[in-house]
Amino acid sequence: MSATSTQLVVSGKGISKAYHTGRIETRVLEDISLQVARGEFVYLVGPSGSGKTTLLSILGCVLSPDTGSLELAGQDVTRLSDQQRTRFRCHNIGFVFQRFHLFGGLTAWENVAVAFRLLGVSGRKAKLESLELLERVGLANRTNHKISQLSIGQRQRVALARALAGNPPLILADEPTASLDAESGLQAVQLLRRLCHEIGTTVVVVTHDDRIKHLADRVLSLSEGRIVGEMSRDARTLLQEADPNPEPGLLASCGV
Amino acid sequence: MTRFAIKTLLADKGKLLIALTGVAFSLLLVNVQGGLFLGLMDKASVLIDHCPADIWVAHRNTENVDLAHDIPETWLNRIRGLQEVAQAEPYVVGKGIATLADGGFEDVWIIGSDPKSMMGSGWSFLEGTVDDLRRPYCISYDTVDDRKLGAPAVGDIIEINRRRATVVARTSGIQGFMTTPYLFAEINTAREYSRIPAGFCSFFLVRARPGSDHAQLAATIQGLLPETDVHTAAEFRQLSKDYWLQRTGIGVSFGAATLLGLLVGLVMVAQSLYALVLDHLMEFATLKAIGAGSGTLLGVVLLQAVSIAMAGSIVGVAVTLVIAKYGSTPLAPILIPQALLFGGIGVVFTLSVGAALLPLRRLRAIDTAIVLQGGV
Repeated sequence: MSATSTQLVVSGKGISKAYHTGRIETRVLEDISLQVARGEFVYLVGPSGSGKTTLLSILGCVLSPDTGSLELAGQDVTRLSDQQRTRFRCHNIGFVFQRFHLFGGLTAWENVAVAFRLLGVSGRKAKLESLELLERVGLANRTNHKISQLSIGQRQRVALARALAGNPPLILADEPTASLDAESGLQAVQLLRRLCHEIGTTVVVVTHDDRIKHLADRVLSLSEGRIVGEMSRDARTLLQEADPNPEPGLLASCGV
Repeated sequence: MTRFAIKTLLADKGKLLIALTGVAFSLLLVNVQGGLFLGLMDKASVLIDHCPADIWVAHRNTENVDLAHDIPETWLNRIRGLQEVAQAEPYVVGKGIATLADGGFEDVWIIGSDPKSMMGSGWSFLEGTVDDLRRPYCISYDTVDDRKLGAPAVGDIIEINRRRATVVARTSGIQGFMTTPYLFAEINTAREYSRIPAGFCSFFLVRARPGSDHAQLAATIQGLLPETDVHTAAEFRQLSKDYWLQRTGIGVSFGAATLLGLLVGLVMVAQSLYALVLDHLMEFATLKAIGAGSGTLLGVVLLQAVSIAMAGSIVGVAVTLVIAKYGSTPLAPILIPQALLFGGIGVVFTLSVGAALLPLRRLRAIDTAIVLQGGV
């Protein structure tokens, strides 16, 4: 990673997290350090229980780390209060949830406008901005449809548009292809990558989906709460050129 | 977030209907119970309300216009000598027993006025006039008492304390708190029917000269007649109402029923709002995740509560006015003054908004992390 600190959108050092159930402590993350540069498209991969979602929650300022420090978009968010974290999320982080979590009673544009309204954008401008974003994700002709009237793929794109509202420096996507078929999943991530690339937004994606891994700039592999592998696109390309049919498990250990 | 709040509210029509019913029901109950109470209390002073007297002079310790004691009419001269007094007359509110055509008996109040002025006599005449009542042994009765008195026609004779009385007029809607029929007559006839000795009456009705201070005049008369109680009309009106209020506990009964109605309405609204929040918990968590602060979430629930309160109040007021118009009778009048109507709206509105505080705790406790854990 050659990015200077001013170009870093995510900079975490020694992050640990444990959950407590009564007297039982479950350590979920152990001494995680990671840096993600502006505009990077990074995957977090690993088996279930490896700590991906917890790490994503910490990166999303939803949870605080027990130890370590975290800077997002140049601001130390390690010890922010709940209210400060909420405010930070609003202005700096876009979310694409696994189950989209769109507002069922609202139309497509109203769903996107909610994010703009939270940013303090006036109602009229929020609508215009929402319509523009929906056009960019290819839903110009579905803006007035209710969520229940949209296909799963279209809902995913509404969620993507909502995450992009206000051009946040960081977008976090939790299993964005989990609800989609292979082709739709690939298209959704390609769209996410393209749009974020256009505006220089950093994206961290938690995924199990092998079909989209080639789109990542970098893959971080987690196991038992630790980063156990990291591979850049260039390294993966070199490896695959050297051995187009590697032994099973060789690349997988690096999250490739 | 107005759109989000309203659309989320409209999305669940069942719960919305329950909440609206709660508000409308509460408001209806407050108004109808309050209206019945005011209507009933209004009857306690109906004779005072329809009498032009500015000051009422009664026997000492008289607490109610219906329960008078005799005072000597000669005392009137002391009042008539005052410069501020324009008119002072004796007035009788006496008790009698009417013998009905079917042989039954009925307690009645006989109200007697000076035949020259007929001050304090009947009103709302359906048949006959107040002039007809100037004649001796002539009475009016009210149609609200048709069932009690056997619905006598004008010209019919009824017997009161074994004396014949000719019905010469009929009125509509005159009834006192005790619902005992009021029969209006001239004062000598009333005295005879109610066995009040000649030279005695129940009250002195005093009209002050224009511009004079009624309270001051009442105090002057009180000084002249220490054996009496002297009240302005407003004071005596309140005294008569307070008498029934304190003696019967009617205020507590109506108050308890109203409070119960408010409580039921409040529970319905609170339960609906709570259920709405629970049903949309994931949406609230999502809102929080994407940057909505506690204030915004509170604003959404408060807006929903205010919307329910407003819509429910409109329905409640509409139903209330219909009931007040078509359900009010002389026997059970429903009086809904603007103060009651708007006061009721204020109370119900406040309670509905207060009900929004119930789900607030649940809202504050939302764990944003659930939206990142594949929650549905």
